[in-house]
Amino acid sequence: MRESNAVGYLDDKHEEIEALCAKYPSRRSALLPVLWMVQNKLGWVPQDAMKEVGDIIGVTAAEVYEVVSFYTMFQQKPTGKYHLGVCHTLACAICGAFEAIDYIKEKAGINHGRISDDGRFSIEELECIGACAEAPAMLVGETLHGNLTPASIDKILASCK
Amino acid sequence: MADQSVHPALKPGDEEIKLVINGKEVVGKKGETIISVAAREDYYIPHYCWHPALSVAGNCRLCLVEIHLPNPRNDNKLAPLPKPAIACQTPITEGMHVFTDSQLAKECQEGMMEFLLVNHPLDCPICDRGGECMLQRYSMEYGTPHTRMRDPKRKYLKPEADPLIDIERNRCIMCTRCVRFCDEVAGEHVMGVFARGSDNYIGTFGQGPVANILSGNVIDLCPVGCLTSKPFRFKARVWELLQTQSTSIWDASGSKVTHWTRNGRLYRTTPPSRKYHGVYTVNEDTEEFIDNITRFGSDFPSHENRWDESRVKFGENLLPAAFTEAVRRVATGLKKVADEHGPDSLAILVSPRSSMEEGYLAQKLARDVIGTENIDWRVSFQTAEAAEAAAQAFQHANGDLEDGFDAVVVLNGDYLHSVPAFAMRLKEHARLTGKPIVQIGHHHDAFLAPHSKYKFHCAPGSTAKALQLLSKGVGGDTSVVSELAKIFSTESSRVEALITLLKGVEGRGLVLQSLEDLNGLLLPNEVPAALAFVGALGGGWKYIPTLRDRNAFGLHAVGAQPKADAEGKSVNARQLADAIEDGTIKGLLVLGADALHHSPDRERLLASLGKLDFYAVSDLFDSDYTRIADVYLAAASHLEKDGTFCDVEGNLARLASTEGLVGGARPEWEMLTGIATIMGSDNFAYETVEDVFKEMMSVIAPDFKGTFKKLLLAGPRNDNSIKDPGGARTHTKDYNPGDYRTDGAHFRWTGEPVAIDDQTAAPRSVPESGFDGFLLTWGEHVQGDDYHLNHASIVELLQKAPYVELNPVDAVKLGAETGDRGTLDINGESYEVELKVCEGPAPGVVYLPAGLGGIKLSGLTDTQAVKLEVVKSNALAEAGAGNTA
Repeated sequence: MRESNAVGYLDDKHEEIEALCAKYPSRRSALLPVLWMVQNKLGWVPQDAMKEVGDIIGVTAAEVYEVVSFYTMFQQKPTGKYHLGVCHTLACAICGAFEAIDYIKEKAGINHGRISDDGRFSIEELECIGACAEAPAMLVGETLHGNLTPASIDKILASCK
Repeated sequence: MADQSVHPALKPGDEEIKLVINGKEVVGKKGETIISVAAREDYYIPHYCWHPALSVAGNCRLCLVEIHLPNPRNDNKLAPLPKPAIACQTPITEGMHVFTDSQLAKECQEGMMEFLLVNHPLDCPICDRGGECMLQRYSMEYGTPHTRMRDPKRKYLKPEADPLIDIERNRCIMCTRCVRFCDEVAGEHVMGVFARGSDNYIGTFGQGPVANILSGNVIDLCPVGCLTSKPFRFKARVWELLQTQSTSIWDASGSKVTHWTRNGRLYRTTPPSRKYHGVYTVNEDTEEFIDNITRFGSDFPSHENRWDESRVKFGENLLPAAFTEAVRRVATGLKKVADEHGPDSLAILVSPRSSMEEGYLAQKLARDVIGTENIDWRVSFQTAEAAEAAAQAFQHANGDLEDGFDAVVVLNGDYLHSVPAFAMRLKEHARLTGKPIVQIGHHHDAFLAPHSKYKFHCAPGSTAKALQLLSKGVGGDTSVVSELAKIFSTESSRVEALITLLKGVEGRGLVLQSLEDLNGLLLPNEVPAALAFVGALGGGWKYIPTLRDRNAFGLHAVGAQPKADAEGKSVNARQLADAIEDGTIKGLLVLGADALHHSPDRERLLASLGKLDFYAVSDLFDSDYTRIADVYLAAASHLEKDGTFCDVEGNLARLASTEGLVGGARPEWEMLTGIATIMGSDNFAYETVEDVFKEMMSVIAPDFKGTFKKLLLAGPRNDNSIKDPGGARTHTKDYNPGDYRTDGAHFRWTGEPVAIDDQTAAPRSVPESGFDGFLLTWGEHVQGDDYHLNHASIVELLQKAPYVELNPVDAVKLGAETGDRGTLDINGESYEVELKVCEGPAPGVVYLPAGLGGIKLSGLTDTQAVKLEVVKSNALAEAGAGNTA
């Protein structure tokens, strides 16, 4: 249930959404880009937003949820201001991804769950992000950082204000 | 003759394809799939995801068959396909050889069963599906007796999604039948497949309910124990229950049902069970879908307030008495009033849920024994004129959806919540055949809207005028276009397109009219307009009026209402309260107290009953209407008696007794026979209800070919064969329309043309535009206040919370959206309602389903302006979540 009848997450984006919908032969094709719009704005896709997106696009909330739950890159839980995605597939794992994850959790103050206590960071373990040459690697938002060491992690976290 | 060369499975014009299944040469038509041809030829191919009423998903892979095809590069010698193919999606081709039981096919079936059982829990002993489970049966027939699975099975949390449907995801095999049913048949994508790969599961968004009146059908569609009925949960094993084929007493669509009983108690109601492989079962390929009220509400006879002994008044008390004594009291009571005040001081009121036999005997008692025309069943109409108009509508009804139509014109009404299964079949007809639906009026059916080619909204009261102009337009008068465009607030080109469409229908067309709309207030104008419209469209057009009352058409057919020429000399149901108050009516016999309960002015009627000299009622329950009676006759419920019902399409269906009579209750035909005999008639010598049926049919439909016994199994009625109107049916080989159709009966289409004058067609005055509010329209809702439903065991889950429908244009103005709460002011009273934004009502109009949440509309004699305000409060929004069925 929405917190308020009047306020929507996408109230300021209606023109942008209409422009997007116009690009496709049917409105429902604009579902993915509109969901990205929500995620970029909020950092995650809450259920209320799925309902709202459904209403705007003209599909049911169940259909939106089918899409959101299919693509793991859509966050269904709140994220921190900076979302850290640490690769832990083979190359990174060999080069110390798990140590890096433990170190990041300690430094960023992520004690339990996946969000730091101050809400600044959230962490997620990713499958291969295609940066095996720079293993271990992580994504901060959409920025790639490779060859992680304790020192470079400190530097990266410090740069995230 | 050309037709003789056509295979019985084909229609003239179909392209014929010859193929071989398991060595037998068979014929199919182009575009058919292997599984449908095989099913018709009695070759059973195991399947989960394929269902004849749903689209092909092809994801269970159980129907894999071996196929050999002629190879044109090798002298058309047969060559096997490199891989087995799924029979549900592979179209048949010329010369194809299909093997459904070869070594390869068997290995495939066994392999697929093993895959499907990888994650399926072995909890059959506590699973409600046990005994009618396709997984159990296929495991025995096609699977292996042991498992090679060593790893732990996948487990899900159990959601509490729907109050009526239990979801146990661990048992799901992802056939997606439920998802496709909600999507395609129920019309809304409320169920979905969530997550990905081996983690996926079915469910609803936010664990919400599958809020649809047809939602219960997913229980039967589920081939495994994932979706089961919550009210039926852990109550009984299916093989312990006695099955009785009967019909719904809720849905005037004529839904057929199977009642599952044990020791006189109803455990569940499902669509008719059919014999598959020696077992009567319901969940496999059942194409007959029923509404939730029929499914979950039919157990009302076992309510604790049931009075199953007749009672008579001794002093101030109503005390139990023998049935014969009660009947004698009624007969002498009626006779006394008739002797003192004349026969016209007596009236008989028949419940619209009475069987045709009861209606027939009641009118025979009134006319032949008492000698009065004061008999009626039309209790739910707002005015006497509306009831007369309804009688005219029934007199001209002649359509049957089964015949198939090239175009359907739908007038005002909420058909889904009035005649659910009929609305569903109409929508399926449009969806599967692509034939256009045109909606005209101040309130459109929101369920049909997505499949309606043209939708024309007009102001309340203008429908008759619009139809009159359209009749002229179809007749070639082009001058009406601009006026019509004004009434519909649309461009002339759309009106022209509509007229072209209507004129272009060469075959059959159908005009559908709901007699429910505004409780019939506008019918005196709209019925003649609609009939004149049908006449103007030409001979291929048919007409169906719909009414929620289950046996309205049947009771009309047997004449359980005053004759048309008796106006002024008779008292009909709507005049009853007045007639009792001014002393015209002194004695009243009511068959079924729901006749009183469903009257729009029931408080007044109830108060007036005290003035009667003699008041007898036959009913099931201890209620306000029975406690004050002089004689209470304990009636047999719909589970205990036999009878015949007629649906909106004029087709007959049999009500059948499950386990006989309960206590001292007796069927009403016995009461009426007794009363008439004691009153001195010797024309009521019936041994069984079948005798009544025979006499009744010889009067109303002498040409009827069916018999009382055959009616039980005749059908199917609400199945999906509508997608191939008139075509071959795969699952009922003994199907014979003559067993239940009443086409030739003389209570149907009179053939007299109906003319409409300008005065009747004139738009009714409505409040001036520009006022601060909305025009209120309303109609009966099957999930509202209902005498019988109020006694069902899970009534609170079946009745809907009050809501109003609102046009999207108005919603934007109000800043409202579906799910918001609002307050509606009617006659100075304020009601809290949920808002539903949909294409239903015209702009400026709100539609309020009557009877929901105790909102009373009695006393409204016209559409009127009401105020609707959106409540913007968090507390309200949170409280308003509960809305089920």
